[in-house]
Amino acid sequence: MMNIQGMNVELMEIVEAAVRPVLCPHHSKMRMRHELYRQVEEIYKQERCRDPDAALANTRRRFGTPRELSLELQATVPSHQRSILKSSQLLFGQRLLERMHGSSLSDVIGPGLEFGCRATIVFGLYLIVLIILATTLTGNHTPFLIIDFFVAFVLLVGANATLMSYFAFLGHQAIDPAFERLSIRNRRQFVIAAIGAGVIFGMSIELLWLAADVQAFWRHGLNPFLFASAAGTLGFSTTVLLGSAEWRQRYPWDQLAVAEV
Amino acid sequence: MTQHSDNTRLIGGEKLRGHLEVMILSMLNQQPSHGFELVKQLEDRGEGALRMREGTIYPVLYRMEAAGLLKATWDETEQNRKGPRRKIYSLTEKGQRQLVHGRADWLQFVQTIGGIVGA
Repeated sequence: MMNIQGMNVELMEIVEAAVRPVLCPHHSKMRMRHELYRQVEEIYKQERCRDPDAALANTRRRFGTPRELSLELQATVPSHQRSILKSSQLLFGQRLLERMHGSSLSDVIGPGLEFGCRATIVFGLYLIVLIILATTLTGNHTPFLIIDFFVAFVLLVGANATLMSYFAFLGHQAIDPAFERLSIRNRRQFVIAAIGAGVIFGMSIELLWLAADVQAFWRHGLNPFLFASAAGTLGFSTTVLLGSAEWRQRYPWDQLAVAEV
Repeated sequence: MTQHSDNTRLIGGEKLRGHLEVMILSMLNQQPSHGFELVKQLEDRGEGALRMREGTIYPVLYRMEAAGLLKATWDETEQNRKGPRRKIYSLTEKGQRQLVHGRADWLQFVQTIGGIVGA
């Protein structure tokens, strides 16, 4: 039998069939996987001593039906956690989340655009609500006079979301998920992704500044751009590296081919 | 109920589920334990009459932990183990109070129903 990180793949598949469909935070899912794996492993040890040929089938039988177990595990997830996760799926788009660790950039071009559109709509609606609330409560209609600025702002957020999802993909691709400890397999690609994300962020800040105050923009020259780019690069690297810890934990389980239950 | 080979009637499904929490509380009151050990104890102490799918104990444990009846800690004896570690479950104060209530409820149930059924 094949092993991944000290775990038997066939036993992992038994666990994953029950756990994968559960909608819950990453740490809860990993805990379920680990605890249930240990349970399955102990059952398998017993069954192998009794009848090695039927050990796997007997382990499956003793462990329980994946679908029933999934439903029972799902029922243990608090409703507020489920709502938050459903909202984030709605914002990011399930396709982008699923393909973020795909094999080539073309895997995420469509989902990245979809994410940009969703971000534009969500942020646009959020700003509309804020402007209506502010003008209604204060009687000051200034926000309507600079509506062009808000439109530019919303479009910029959408464009940023799309481009950042591509850079995030490249950043993730540069990290080797098969190792439990952090290992960057393509440092050059990671640096390019981080600088690219930083430059896009810096350019966005510059554009906003230009739209808001042209004179101040020219007075300060390139300084704000350089500062925002550096901050963007640092922020991007930190986010991707921290996010990769979750990915590396999940990776052995994501690789399993498990039938939908 | 299903007929067992030695004529012992197996208790499973909803009948077992209804009393599982108080049985878990009672076993953990004697000794903190992990999931597999709990299932084994249930089978041993039920003398083969209790039947459950072994994975289903975890949703019950998670629910009880979320309700503050149990607490779970990583098994320190497995620190050097390669692969997943397991959690040891133990009773909280709230769990101990719940066990006292559970036992009282069970006694009342047995006395009342037993009196009617004639056990």
